[in-house]
Parts: sequence; structure tokens; C-alpha cells
Amino acid sequence: MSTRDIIRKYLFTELLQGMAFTFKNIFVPKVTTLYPYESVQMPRRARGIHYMREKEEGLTACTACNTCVKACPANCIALTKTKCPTGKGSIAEEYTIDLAKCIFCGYCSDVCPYDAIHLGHSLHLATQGSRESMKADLPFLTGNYYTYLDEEENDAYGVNYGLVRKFSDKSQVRLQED
Amino acid sequence: MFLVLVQIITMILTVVMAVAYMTWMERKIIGAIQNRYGVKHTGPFGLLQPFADVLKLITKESFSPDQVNKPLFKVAPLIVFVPAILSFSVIPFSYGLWVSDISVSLLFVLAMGSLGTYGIVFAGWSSNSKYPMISSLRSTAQMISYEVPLFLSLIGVIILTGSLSLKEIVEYQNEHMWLVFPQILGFLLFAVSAVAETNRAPFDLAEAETELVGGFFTEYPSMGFALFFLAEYASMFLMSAVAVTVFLGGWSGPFINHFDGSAKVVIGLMYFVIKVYVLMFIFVWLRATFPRLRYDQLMSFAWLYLIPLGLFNIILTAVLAYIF
Ligand code: SF4
Ligand code: SF4
Repeated sequence: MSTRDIIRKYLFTELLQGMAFTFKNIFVPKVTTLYPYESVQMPRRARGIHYMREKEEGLTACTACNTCVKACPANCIALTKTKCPTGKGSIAEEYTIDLAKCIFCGYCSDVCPYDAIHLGHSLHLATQGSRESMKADLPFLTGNYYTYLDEEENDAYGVNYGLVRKFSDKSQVRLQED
Repeated sequence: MFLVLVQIITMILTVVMAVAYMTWMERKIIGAIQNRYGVKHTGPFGLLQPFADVLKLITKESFSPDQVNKPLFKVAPLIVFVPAILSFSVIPFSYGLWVSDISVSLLFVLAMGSLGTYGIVFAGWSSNSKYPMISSLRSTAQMISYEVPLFLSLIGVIILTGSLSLKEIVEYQNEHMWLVFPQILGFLLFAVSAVAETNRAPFDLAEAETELVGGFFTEYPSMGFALFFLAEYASMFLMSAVAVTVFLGGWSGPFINHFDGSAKVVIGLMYFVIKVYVLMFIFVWLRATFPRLRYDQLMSFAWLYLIPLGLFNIILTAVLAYIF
């Protein structure tokens, strides 16, 4: 046994090392987010409340093809179809997602052939209203589209790119495709 | 008579307030060490949290389970709490500031410390359920074993000062030097045994929340629980106060002898409080750093290392005191 080992064994220097480590941690910045007072930055891959893309102002990209309705495992999408006011084809007249039923699986956005319905990042689902107020209708969903665009422009989620990249290279590919 | 009553009430209130704010400090410090904020919501910096906790505890129903032995169950928290508070009466907080000065105050403190163990035994036994039982067995064994090195570590001090009175021990240190320097081994022994004696981490096997659901106070509701809690923190304060008084010079400190009258009292009190809080910080710091020991390690640590070291310390001190 070397002198160093003897010192370590009988003078308990390891204990002091541990204590020095915890003491240093007092001066490390806090990691807590003070949630109700501060907003939480969700990672970009987080699946939150939906938005509906608009082809042009006032015209949703949805063609009421019903694919998402069939794909939805929670059975929470309901839509009615109408003729497109400009040109041929059809669009959705009413399109509601019951957010109280939705499990945020993202299947609807995966299957949509027209790239219309997407999942955003907002997780603020709590409401004081009735069950009915949890239903997201078309104006609400398209409204979310424009907030989403704003956030992209201001890079509101930029801070978390690094984190996302670190955890999965695959997701990076998806992000670039976005 | 009236004066004594005022003294007693002031002291009890001070201790209880100090204990209440110690819980706040502990949560803040441990939070900071774990990069969290700790209590924050109640009042500025969470300063009103102790009051919220106390209010919650005293408004709870004082319920006792069917299987308990009622008289013992009710009296056990008091047996833990009263000695813990009582010992403060002999601590010299400052120059000429104490509730009573008895010539054997050091022995009195140690005796009161041993009495607290009975409360724990009663609590565990009368609860009549498995976790408190195991916990009280563990904690009695632990407290009895660690009392031995605790006493042994103090004998060196008694040899040097030739007195059992805490007041005279502090005066000796004020004239000569802080006893932590000649008695460094004694101080370390005292520190380790004090942590074990107060059932604090890393020696908190008796209260192991993860294994024993809180230990001997598992079955206690409302005020019974609060009294155990108060007693634990009060005994932490007591151990810090004794360590300060016996080893770290009590109220003495730099320049204290240049003052006299009430200035000396105030400054002495300031030194005393600062030293006590430094030690209290170390208590919390230890808790935030070390994991719990295994039970057999705990016992063998006391009997195989601390007690021989304590005996060695006594012999060394006696020989050196005889030579010089
Ligand atoms: S996220 Fe899943 S559950 Fe929610 S609407 Fe889309 S498909 Fe349905
Ligand atoms: S959102 Fe997409 S999948 Fe759903 S109906 Fe519209 S176009 Fe079809």
C-alpha cells in the first residue's frame, strides 16, 4: 500500500472530496423552470395541440379525404365535406378535433396526404369551460398555423435543437424535412 | 420567580422559532446543492413556509390507531421533546447570559440526551406495528453505542479545564485558547458521534424514509409528529451549541475582551449564534452529500474505531496534561 492509499484510507479524503463537490454545486445556476410563472420551452419534437396548414389565406390545405379520421386511434376527428369555392375538388367545411379524447399520437399528421394537419408544440390544454370547449374547430386550428409560423420565424424553439440532435440523429433528418 | 418564567418562555420560543427556520434553511440549502430552488412559493423566498407547515400540522386530526398502547403512545413525543429543550437551559449563550448555571451542566446535557432515547423506545414499542418497532430497536442501539464515544470525546476537555460547568469551560477558553486546537481528535470524535446521536444522515438509519417509512414516528399524527420533528432539530441545535461551547470557544472570539457590559453580551451572543449556524450548515451539508450507512457498518464503526480512538484521546490528553 502506498502512502497515498494509506492517507486515503485513514484520513477519509474521499469524504472531503465529496463534500467539496456538493459545496461547489451551491453556486451552479438552478435548473428548475418556475413553471406557472415562466413558460416552458418544449423540445421541438414534442407533440402538442394541432394546427391546420392553409394553402393561401382563407383556404385550408385539407381536402376532406377522411384519411385522418380513419387513422385516428382515439376516434376524435370529425369533419364534413363541401365543394371547394375556388376551382374543383372539395374542402372540409367543419373539422373538429376533440382534444379531450386525442392522445397526441401524431398519426393524423403522418397519414395526411395533403400535408394539412400537423401537431404543434403547445401543451396548454387546461380549460375552465365544459367538455365542448375542448373541441378544436377549423378557425382555431388555422389560427394555430399562423402562431406556429411566427414561432418558427422568431426561432422560439431554437434553443432546444441542440438537445434534440444530441438524442437522435434520426430526428434531425425529420427536422430537416419539416 | 417571574423573571425565571420570562427567561424560560423566551428561551422556549427562541428555540422553537430557530427550529422552524432551520427546516426552511435546510430545504433551501439542500435545494441549492441539488441545483433546485427549494421552498419558494409561500411568502418572499418561501419564508412563511414554516408557519404554513405548523398550521397544517396543528389543524390535523389527532388520531391514534387502534392497536397502539394509548398512554405510552401519547407520552412518548413529550419524553423526546422535553429533554431536548431542557438541555438549552444550561447553555451559556453569551457572557452572563444563561437560564441556569449548575456546576455539572455538561453532565446534565449528556444525561438529558440519554433520556430522549427512552421516548424513542416508547414510541416504537407502543405503536405496535412493524416499522416503528424495527426503527426504535435500531435507533436505541445506535444512540447507546454512540453515546459512549460522545462522552469519551468530552473527557479530554474535562481533564484540561478541570471543570464540568459549561460556563467555566467557556471562560477557560476565553483566557487560554479554543479547545478545538489541543483536542482536535476529541472534536472530530464529538462531531461524528453527534451526527449519529441526533439520528441525522448519513447515520439516519432509524428514520430511513425509504426503508422504514419514517421510522419510529410512522404512526404519529399531527402534533405528535410535530414534536418528534421539533425534537430532532432541537437536538441538532443542542449538539451544535454544545460543540461550540466546549470546543469552539462558546461566546468568546476575537476582540471580545476589549468590551464589557452589555456590548460584551451582544457581541458574545453574535459570535455564539454565528458558530452554531456554521455547524448547523455542516449538518445539512453532510445530509446532502452522503448516502446512508449500512447498519452493521454503523455499529462496527462506533465500536471498532470511535471508542478506541476516544480512549486513546483520553490517555494522550492525560499524559500530556501531566507532563506540561
Ligand atoms: S394525434 Fe392521434 S389521437 Fe390526436 S387527432 Fe391525431 S390521430 Fe387522433
Ligand atoms: S387533414 Fe389531411 S388526412 Fe385529414 S381529411 Fe384533411 S387532407 Fe385528409
